Amino acid sequence: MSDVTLDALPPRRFSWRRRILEGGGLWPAVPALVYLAVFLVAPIVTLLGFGFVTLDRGQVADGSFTLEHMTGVLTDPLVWRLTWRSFWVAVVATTLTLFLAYPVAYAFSHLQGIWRTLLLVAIISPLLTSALVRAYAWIVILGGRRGLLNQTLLSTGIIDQPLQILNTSMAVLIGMTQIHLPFMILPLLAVLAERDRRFEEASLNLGAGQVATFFKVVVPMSLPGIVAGFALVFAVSYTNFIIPQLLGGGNYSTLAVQVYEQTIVVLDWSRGAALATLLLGSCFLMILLITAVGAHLTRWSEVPK
Amino acid sequence: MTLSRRHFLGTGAALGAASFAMPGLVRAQSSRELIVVSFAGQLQEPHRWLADQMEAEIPGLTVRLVPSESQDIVAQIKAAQGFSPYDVMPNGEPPHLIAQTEGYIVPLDAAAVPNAANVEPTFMALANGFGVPTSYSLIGIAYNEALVETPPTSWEDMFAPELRGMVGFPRASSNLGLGALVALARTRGGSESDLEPGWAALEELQPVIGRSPSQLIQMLEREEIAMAPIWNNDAAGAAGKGLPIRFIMPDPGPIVVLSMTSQIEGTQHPDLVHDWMNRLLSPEYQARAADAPYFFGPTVTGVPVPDAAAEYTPTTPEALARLQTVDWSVIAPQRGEIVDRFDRTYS
Repeated sequence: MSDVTLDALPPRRFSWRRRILEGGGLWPAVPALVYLAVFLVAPIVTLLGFGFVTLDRGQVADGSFTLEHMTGVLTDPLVWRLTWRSFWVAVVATTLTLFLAYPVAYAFSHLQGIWRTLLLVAIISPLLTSALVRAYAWIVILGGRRGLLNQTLLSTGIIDQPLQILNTSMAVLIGMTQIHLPFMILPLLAVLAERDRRFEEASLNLGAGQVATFFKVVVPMSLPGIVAGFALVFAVSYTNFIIPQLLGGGNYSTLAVQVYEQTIVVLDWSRGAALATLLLGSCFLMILLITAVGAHLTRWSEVPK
Repeated sequence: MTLSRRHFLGTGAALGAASFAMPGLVRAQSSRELIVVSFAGQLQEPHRWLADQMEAEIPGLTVRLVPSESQDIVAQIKAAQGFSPYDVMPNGEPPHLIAQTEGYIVPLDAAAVPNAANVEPTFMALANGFGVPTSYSLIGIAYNEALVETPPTSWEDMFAPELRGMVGFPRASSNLGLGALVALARTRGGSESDLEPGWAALEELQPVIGRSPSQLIQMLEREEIAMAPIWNNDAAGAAGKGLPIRFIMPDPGPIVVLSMTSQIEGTQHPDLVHDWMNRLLSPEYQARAADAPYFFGPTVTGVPVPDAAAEYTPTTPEALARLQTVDWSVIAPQRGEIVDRFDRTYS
């Protein structure tokens, strides 16, 4: 009875103010949301909008809405070739980071005291230098006859002709895997370090071996970390512009590199914006797919309703 | 006229505000900033020398040099929709033409830049009435002495069979790439309006593509490539650091590209821009920029090329006559297509 009476009452006027003061609901996020709307959403919408209008000397021509740039991009075989390249480089680099990151995160969860701190410092320290510096470091290591790698291999007599690694897909993959490794380790670390060890003890007690316990208990428990790391590293690898630019050489292009070329070099902003729309849209779809697959794989962890 | 109280107060407030603002206005007059687009690294030093002189002579003036590629600057001016953050910029001939048609630079006020009268008339004509030619650079061939036994003498020498896979080439989006493509086309009987032989020559050359002149120099240094078309100034900079990189002016002649300094549309300080342009054409600046280690070709008549520049700049009338000019007005309209074709071939 009392419920009905309460529902019938008009909403009280001070409720909004009270909610702000009490910090409930979405309100605490408002400053961040306003910031994102002004400095992220608005510029992105403007940029993407440029893909659907004709620009004349930096001004939008009146009544010039057109799908021409978008269809031009979508029907261009070069664009699809570069999209495919961006995609597979990102998938391979992300998979490699997963295989390299998992043992590190697993080891972290078994370390104690000073060793644990040292490992954490080692994982985070590459983030203290910019990706640009790390890409240049790879140029020094991989580059030509005078690169560290070739010099070592040539002087020890293992090879007699320098290996051609820099300015190939291989260099881009190596660079991307190393540079993005911390983004995979950190989510895995959070999940693996906090996991409930009693499940493993139970598995061992019930007769499963170490290997079976690892694959059937530890790995499934770390799936949320794997999914988060995979989505994160895929997104930054797929849209990365600096690493292909520096390590892939002048013959190498990806979708992100094309966005730069069209916007800065050719000054065709409409095509650049149409390419950016494709890059952003396809990346968004892939992230949705990764999270959907992740949700499917971890559905056992949810309490049935 | 009757003065109401409100009117009186309003006027008083305005006067008060003005008196507060006046010192600010005076300050703004005496402290001004000229923002000049410049070159990167060592090549900026002649500009810095000139800027220091100008700052010493004009009280309150700060000259800020911004090292940047002209293509990035043009993109920024375009993004600013005419409200350029820069006052004056040097452009190679291709972007100079594009900046004219897009309206980013303004025609030269010759009376305000008296030294423009001393510029070599053939060079001055190429400015099309916009800006002044302040230097010239050459596109020739740079090679790594450790890898090339017989130094090249002509453009054709890049095709030597023993160099296969070891020749670098710049992307066609840069002035260097466009100039080198024209040089190849001409070597094989083509021209600015018929670049097809140049494209065929590129296919035969199977070059390693460098994204920028500095990347090509680095590739030469790391011995990834043995030879590449390059700017004389960049090759000189590398050789000056002790690297085994030499520059030649290949037969039938190196490509000459003028650098035009222009006033950017919408500048707040046209007087300072004119002063800057005039000083760039002074014999002192021209001689300094032409000397080691910069080797910017002088555009003012009567400025001698120093002996140290012999490897990088023509010193004799015969060598000057060998310089190959390019009709950029034919290339500029095709630039988008050329870049696109290059992207499709080398991506």
